[in-house]
Amino acid sequence: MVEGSYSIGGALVGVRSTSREFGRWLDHALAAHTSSEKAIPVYSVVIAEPTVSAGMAKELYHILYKGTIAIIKTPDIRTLVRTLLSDLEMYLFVDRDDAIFADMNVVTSDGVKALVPGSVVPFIGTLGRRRLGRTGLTLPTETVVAIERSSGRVVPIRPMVEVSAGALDLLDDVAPADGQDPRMVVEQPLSIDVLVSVGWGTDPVVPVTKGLALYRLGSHVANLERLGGGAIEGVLPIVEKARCYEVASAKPAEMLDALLQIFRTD
Amino acid sequence: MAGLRPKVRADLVVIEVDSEAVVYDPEEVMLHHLNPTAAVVFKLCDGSGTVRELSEDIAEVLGASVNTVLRQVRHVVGQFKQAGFIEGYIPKPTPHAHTHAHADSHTDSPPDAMEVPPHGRSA
Repeated sequence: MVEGSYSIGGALVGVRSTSREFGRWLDHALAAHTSSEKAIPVYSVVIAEPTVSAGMAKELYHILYKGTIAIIKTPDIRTLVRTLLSDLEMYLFVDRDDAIFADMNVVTSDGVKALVPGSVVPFIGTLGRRRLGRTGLTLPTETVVAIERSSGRVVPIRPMVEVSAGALDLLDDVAPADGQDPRMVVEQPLSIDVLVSVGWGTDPVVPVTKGLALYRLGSHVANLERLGGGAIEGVLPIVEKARCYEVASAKPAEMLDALLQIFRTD
Repeated sequence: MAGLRPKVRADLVVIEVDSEAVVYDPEEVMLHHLNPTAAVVFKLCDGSGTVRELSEDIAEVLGASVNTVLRQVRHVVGQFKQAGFIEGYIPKPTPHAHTHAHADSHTDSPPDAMEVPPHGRSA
């Protein structure tokens, strides 16, 4: 196990990994943020080690944990790194005013775009890639979203975490890039069709009022203090245009079914 | 006394959507959700009338009994005081940052229940 400490947005963030190569790579990639002060590990990166089992090809997964939660499990090291870097951006959101930042995720299915609380994706992710793959859902690479204040569209996050030039190209030396992961990255402005929140009711899915949906979406805004009420006005267009639902807090399979039910609803 | 003619703080930011409202409190960095009844009461709390007078106005518009409306308005104004919306009242501490305010009791949430995600309350 190797550990690195990085200073990001005034926070001291520790990352540990099972791979010495990954640890070296991360130190290089985040050289601008390296801290000599030892941080408590927030993230753990498990890099899959190639194994030979009776000649059978076996898909290998790399896993990124935040605390005890696996926020992504993927065969593609680049996808894992994109997820890690997007999560690190969160430490800088509180001081930013170039967009509204929220710990929400875009999940898509058949062209329908849903904005769901950030905790939902890793939760249903525990069901496994094959099961999720059969549903037709596309999960996000990023753990957070940026919302354009003028339009309420989800827009690409302008990265502020400084990554050393060319570092991403060196990832192939850390782990073989033989895995594919069709997760989505927000690369252009997106309009949201469905807004999902998690409630305390027992019904798996219920429509919620626009007021409650706005309040719940607002509660996920990371730079609320910086933007004030303007943040809530900024996300209002999403609420006004989207269908708004609440899913019950339940087991992963039940929450997945609830999400699929929403996607199937016109 | 501020409590006799309730007046909501001028620095609160109110975003109305349909007949509900979301209130942002910049001092507490907290969001509050107001259901339609609470949103109406919030708008009327401008320091011009007592709770009874507000209730009489609402009762007249709704064609409802003043006493029934008065009970609900008192309850909502009480929640506003607890939330620190009314001038002269300090918000009571809550374990989280967001709340909801409900004016009536025929919802799944009890009337005083404060649903609390990271920044707020609901009334």
